[in-house]
Amino acid sequence: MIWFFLSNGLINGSLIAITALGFAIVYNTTRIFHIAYAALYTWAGYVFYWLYVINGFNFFLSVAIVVVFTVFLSILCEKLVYQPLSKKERSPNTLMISSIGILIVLVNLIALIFGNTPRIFPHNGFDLSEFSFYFISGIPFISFIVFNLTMILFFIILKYSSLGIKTRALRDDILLSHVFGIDTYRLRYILFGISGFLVAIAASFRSLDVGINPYVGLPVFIYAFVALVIGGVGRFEGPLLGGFILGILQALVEYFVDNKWVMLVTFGILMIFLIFRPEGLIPERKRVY
Amino acid sequence: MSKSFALNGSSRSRYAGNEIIPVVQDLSLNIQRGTVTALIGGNGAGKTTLFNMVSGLLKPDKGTITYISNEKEHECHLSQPYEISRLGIGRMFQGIRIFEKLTIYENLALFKFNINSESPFYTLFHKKAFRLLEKDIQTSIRDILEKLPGTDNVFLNDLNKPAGKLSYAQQRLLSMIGLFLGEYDLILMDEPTSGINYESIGDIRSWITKFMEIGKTVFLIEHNMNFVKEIADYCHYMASGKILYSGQPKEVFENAEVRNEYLI
Amino acid sequence: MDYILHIGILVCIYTIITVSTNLLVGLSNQISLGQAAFLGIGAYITALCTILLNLSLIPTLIIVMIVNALLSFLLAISSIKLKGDFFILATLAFQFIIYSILYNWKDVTQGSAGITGIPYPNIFYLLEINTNLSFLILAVFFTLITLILFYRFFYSPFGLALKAMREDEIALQTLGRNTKNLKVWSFVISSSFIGWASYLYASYMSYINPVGFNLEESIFILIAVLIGGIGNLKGSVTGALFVILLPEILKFVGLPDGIAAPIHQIIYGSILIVLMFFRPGGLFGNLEFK
Repeated sequence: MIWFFLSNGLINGSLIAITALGFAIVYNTTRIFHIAYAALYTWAGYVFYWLYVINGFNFFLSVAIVVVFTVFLSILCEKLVYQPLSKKERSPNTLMISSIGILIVLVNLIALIFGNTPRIFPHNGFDLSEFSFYFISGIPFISFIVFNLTMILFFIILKYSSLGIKTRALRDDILLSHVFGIDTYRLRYILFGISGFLVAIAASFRSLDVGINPYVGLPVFIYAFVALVIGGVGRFEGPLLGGFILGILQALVEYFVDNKWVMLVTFGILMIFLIFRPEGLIPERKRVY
Repeated sequence: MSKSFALNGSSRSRYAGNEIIPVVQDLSLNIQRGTVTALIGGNGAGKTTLFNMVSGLLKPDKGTITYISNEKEHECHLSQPYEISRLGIGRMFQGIRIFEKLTIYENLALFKFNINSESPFYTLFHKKAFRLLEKDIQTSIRDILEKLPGTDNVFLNDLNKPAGKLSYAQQRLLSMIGLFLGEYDLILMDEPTSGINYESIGDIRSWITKFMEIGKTVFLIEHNMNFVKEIADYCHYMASGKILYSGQPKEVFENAEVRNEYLI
Repeated sequence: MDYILHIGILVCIYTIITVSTNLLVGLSNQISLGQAAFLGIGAYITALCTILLNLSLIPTLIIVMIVNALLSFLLAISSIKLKGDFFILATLAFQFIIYSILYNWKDVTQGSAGITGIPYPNIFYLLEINTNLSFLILAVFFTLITLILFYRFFYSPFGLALKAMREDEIALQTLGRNTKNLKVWSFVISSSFIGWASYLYASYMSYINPVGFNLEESIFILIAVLIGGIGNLKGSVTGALFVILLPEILKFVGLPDGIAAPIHQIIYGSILIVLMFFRPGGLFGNLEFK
């Protein structure tokens, strides 16, 4: 029985890891408290629902359109709000408040269009539920594989393209990367795009499994941020590690204690990390002055 | 009351890869009461680091840093910056560190008013503390502004102007007036003349002389050698974290090694 | 008539909340996403004190303030060394921990069902405040006291030190100010006065459940403070008026509930974004978030 919980923990962990990674690529580099990320998750889920269930599009086509749409929406946040505010030299907290504004507007637009009722995906057309792997039903298993492949792809791109070096440069010193001729604003578009891509994948496969409602994004975002802090802000291995640890930990709490205390334990651990180890499990290497 | 302050001990290093580079090493300084002591030395000699350690903003990696005044020993490395300030060590930063959104009056009042009034409930029992209308604060601020040697006294005319709207030199002078007002014995100044035009340097010089008249002690970092020559009673030359030469400014300036390494 | 009284009472409750949050968020620049948690703790303590112990107004209020002050003290000393986003995250964690306890500790809080039958306030068992009009008078009285006290806080040496701290903490330390103390004080004061609001809220509604004290409520409080303006009492009152009156005005336009709720949320959200562009300190605020 514990194996069932543990495998569930791994699957949830991969969801937290991929969303944490999508958030980290924005947060580590630009330090924007990008809460609107939660709204991107919701939008991706609903657009997927609209395409795949309501309009009966092909599964792969739906995912592709969702990815394009979310990448576009993510870049739009940067283009319309963050970038102009950064150019006005507003403080980080101002950016955070504006991000809360975006979150509220986007989530309530969803509520306005689709209503508050949760939506569940009937498995029409491309039926994933026929698969099963030991005691895990098909969709979670497939999403686990997809999430991990996506993350591997992410790390490969980061390691072997010039994008990775530029991202690290931006992470270390924004002003200096400006001076060295990196077009930081263009780079930021790319980063927001990648973030949108990751969240689109996460949202479409997750909502296929558990359905979707307008307020589903915020908890996902918050767990992602918790994973990021536990893993360590600064390097991209951090959110990955943090995500899986958090997922397995939640599964263990579910197994040994009770489902209802998962939230308390999660945030208790966050608090412990913030007080005793704010740099996280994988700390950023200290810069030599 | 003893004749001098003493600063002892301390070391702080930085790490470059595996190499350990000392920024400030063991030192021992005596500062005579009522004098101006200057600290000179090239960039990266560790002057500002020393100041930051004395005012508690940086902690030494190993060793201690002690401040001796009136035969009492205070361990700066164990104290918070605010405790050190309450010992009577005032600090003026390099560049400008004033509260730009606050008015001139509020900036000065921050130096003057009683630490106890920091408590939120003070104002409930002291009616005058509200809006900083306490008589003694008002009079002492006006007193000091009227006595100032400067010619155009912008401060007195515009007490309710936000301090950020003052010019660079005026902002520097404002923080000096604040140090006048505060009850500090030893005043640490980090490059009071950098980035300031010739006339205002004159103001600063005459104000430091004023400090002396009311029995304060000034310890300053300076790169302007003429200024040091005119104002300092004593001079320390610092290089790679050590005090190498001390003496009257003239003697130090004429020292061959100082000339070769720093002045030329 | 009752409707107007109802609105008046809500405005009073929210004014107390925004004014006390403004001290924390505005003056001392510690953005807290845990204000609803303090509201919730206060409301539940009120419910327990009045239902189980049958206490009157003043003892209940004192207990609420003490509990809120203690909890905020604990939160403050553990989180004030954190900078920026991490501080916000700590308050967020606190918010979720309290919410989770309120939601799941069924023996005491009755979980999602909430607590019903919270009695009207009474003053030493002599005078029971049981009409809307008398409740409004009580609420206005509380609000006035809060406003006067916070007016004094804002323009006292304490308030000045907070304003200086938000500009340059290190410089203020070298002026001999214990900035840690200042931060803890602003936290404790802010949350104990939120206790007043939660007392009024619980005894007026006579029914509370944990959903009223979730993260959305914390964000809502932050919005109310921001729309009015940070570091400014006039702004806080305006903000409270605005967030209470806007939904009511939309009701008169005749939108059905399912549409009205998202619409006024969208209005708040857009106002936030626009404000950050043109007046980052809020409508009346002259300070900016650091």
